[in-house]
Amino acid sequence: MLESTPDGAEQTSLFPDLHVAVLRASDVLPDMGAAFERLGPRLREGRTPGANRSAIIATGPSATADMGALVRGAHGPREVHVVILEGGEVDE
Amino acid sequence: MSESRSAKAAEIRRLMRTEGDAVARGTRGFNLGRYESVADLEDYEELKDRAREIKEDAIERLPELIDRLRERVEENGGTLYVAEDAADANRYVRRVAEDRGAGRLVKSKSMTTEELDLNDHLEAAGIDVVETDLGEWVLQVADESPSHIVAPAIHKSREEIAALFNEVFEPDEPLETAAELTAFARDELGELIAGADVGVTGANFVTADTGTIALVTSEGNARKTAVVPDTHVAVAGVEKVIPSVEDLRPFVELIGRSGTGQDITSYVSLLTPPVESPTVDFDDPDAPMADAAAERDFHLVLVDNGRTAMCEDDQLRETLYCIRCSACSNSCGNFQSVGGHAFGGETYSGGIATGWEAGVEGLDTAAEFNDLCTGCTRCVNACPVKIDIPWINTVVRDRINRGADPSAFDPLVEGLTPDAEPAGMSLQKRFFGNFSTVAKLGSATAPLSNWVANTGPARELMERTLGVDRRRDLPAFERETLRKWFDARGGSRVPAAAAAREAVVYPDLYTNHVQVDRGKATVRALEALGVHVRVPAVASSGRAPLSQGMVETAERHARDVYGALAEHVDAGRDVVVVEPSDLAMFEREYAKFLPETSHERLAGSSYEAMEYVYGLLRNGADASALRGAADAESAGVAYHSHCQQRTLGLEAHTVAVLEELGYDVLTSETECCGMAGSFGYKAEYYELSVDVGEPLREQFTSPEARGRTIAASGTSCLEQLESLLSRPTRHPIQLVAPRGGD
Ligand code: SF4
Repeated sequence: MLESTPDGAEQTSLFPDLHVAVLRASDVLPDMGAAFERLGPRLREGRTPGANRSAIIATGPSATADMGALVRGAHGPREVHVVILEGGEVDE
Repeated sequence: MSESRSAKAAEIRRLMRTEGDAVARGTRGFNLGRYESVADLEDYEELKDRAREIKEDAIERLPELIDRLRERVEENGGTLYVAEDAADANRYVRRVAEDRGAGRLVKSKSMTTEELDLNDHLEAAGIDVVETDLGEWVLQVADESPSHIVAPAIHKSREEIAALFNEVFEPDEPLETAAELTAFARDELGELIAGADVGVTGANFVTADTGTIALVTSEGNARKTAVVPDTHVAVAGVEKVIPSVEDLRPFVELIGRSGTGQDITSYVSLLTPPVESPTVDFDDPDAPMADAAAERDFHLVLVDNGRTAMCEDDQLRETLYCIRCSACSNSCGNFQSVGGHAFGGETYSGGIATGWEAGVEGLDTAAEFNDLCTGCTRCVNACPVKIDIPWINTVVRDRINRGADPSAFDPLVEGLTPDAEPAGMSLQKRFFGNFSTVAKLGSATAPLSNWVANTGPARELMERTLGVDRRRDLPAFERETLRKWFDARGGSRVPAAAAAREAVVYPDLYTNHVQVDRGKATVRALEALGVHVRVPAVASSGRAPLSQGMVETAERHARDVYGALAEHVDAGRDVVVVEPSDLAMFEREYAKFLPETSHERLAGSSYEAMEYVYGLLRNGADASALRGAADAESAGVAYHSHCQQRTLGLEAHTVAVLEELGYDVLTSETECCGMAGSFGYKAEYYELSVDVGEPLREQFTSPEARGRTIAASGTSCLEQLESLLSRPTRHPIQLVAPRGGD
């Protein structure tokens, strides 16, 4: 889940060919249901100024089948790597 | 053939030739992907129920949700505009663009803006409009319209796109592969997006509790369109509003799986504009983004354009639940052959397009393609919001019939058409709709009727006046109907007193007059398993008139059928139906014609013939009383279940019984044989119906199928298979019934 932040986290994950996402193991959720349980309150309370009210659920590289075959790397990244940090803390 | 019929046939022929292969490849791939992807969902049915519930509730209280949404959007710093119609919406978007002084506006894919013809309107005002979805861009470059609601350029092959780009853009190195074409498009469009002043997106859903628009995409262009320019306009139909963020869940899980067979798309963007992301200054790539001031402007345009009237319309309302996933296009045999340029209206295509076009554009537009829905129901279980798409097509067909010119009334056909329908509807429709009268006459005068009907002059006359294609073999009526045969043999051979169960074999039109042998086989098979059988006089089900959109006539049949069968149901007798399309009437459509309890009683007591045999065997009947593979011409069977039978989940029963009796069964992989009742007889659709049957012909003539007995459950399928394969076909019950001396 990529939030839209004033420092451009969303664009950073969109324009380059390679996107590496780093997240805590404790932030891995079991399924879509759990994701929306978390998203609902977040997007609602986010209506206060300064908080992030938008998020992208990204599941992999951008892709298209519009040119006659499946191609990875359409308008967004061609490659996505997810690094999961077990146990430790992420520097915010 | 009449002029309009031959023009229609020619147009269908042209599209099958020019676009059919690409459409077939694309849609069949999506359709297979759907089966695989939903099979992984443990709670598939629950998710569909939930999705349906959310939409029903949202449409019910739409005005209240829009009020709440307006508050949220304004609180967030955006503007909500509800546009009454296309002109109103177009005016508003143009004004926003002009106020911004926009030279270029970029768009991500939106069917709603296609509905509005927004691009034309903006271009007329001197604004440069660029579609950024790769498929939409291909169409913009080619100046063509979408042929599919999710993959708009599905009708174009890679080779065609390459030729188009090479001609228009003259790249240094000619483009060839899909990867090269994509990379080229990305670069071209990337620049155009960078220099755009306004971004227009659609919205798959809008949540009223937060003012969030959800965009389900994979290319990433919608994300760029929404955040690169500082002005974002989202355009969506009013029906896209749902109550809360949590309500998105079932849709997000279902939409990609149902449509293109993707478990999830690359991106589900939940944007609550104006977004916090900074704008990017492409002229100064070294400047940190965070320094850019995020002065953003956001407009949400909700389009009514006929939708409020659809909310009030008890029959069309369901259309508004549609999430435009395209499953009803991909699962449709006719669509797979012709695509959305034939099976579609001004904007929308596929089965549900009839509802959208009738509601948004009007009946005339829906009338142009509505006949292409044959009511096979293969889309029904595929629809993630459980819309009864065939029913919407039937209702609209009925309205079109009623709107027809009554001066076209023909007293000659009137004698054959004792229906309750408006005089102006087409002779062809009335002829097929009143097939019960034709069948009765046909049997009464057989074999003379068959000889006469098959003479050259008669076929020519039928083609000219009724639009019955002369290349199709006509059904041959039997002089001795099933009921006559049954009476002549002295009724059931199993006395009621000695019977394990009692059953009524429903003498449907085809079994009674045409495919009499399968009726006889049903009686014998049931008797072999200890069932006392009756074959009473019961009206035809109403399937024939319903398929022509003659709803009132069909309803009358439903009441007659129920009247005749109720006493048997009351007496605890089971109702056994040979023709799957008639069983489907009892189970599905009668729910709309009969009081709830009547429908439940009849549907609850009715069984497809092989399903009934299956049930008897499961309850201890002796399978050795039936004929097995050892006593058959071939132990191999190639079986095509009927489309509606499969929708009812009854294919497996036939296969299980055949296998229990030692048959080796190969089942068809096709959604529909293409015949679909009267459809394949109609002169304007004959070639299409043969084309739809092509995959079935291929499978059943493959080495795997060699030497197998060809079996099918539906009359239409039997007729289609016989003509496609030039081989005799059987109903499965004929493979298991003891040989009869009577
Ligand atoms: S009617 Fe159902 S299957 Fe067809 S596009 Fe709409 S949601 Fe999908």
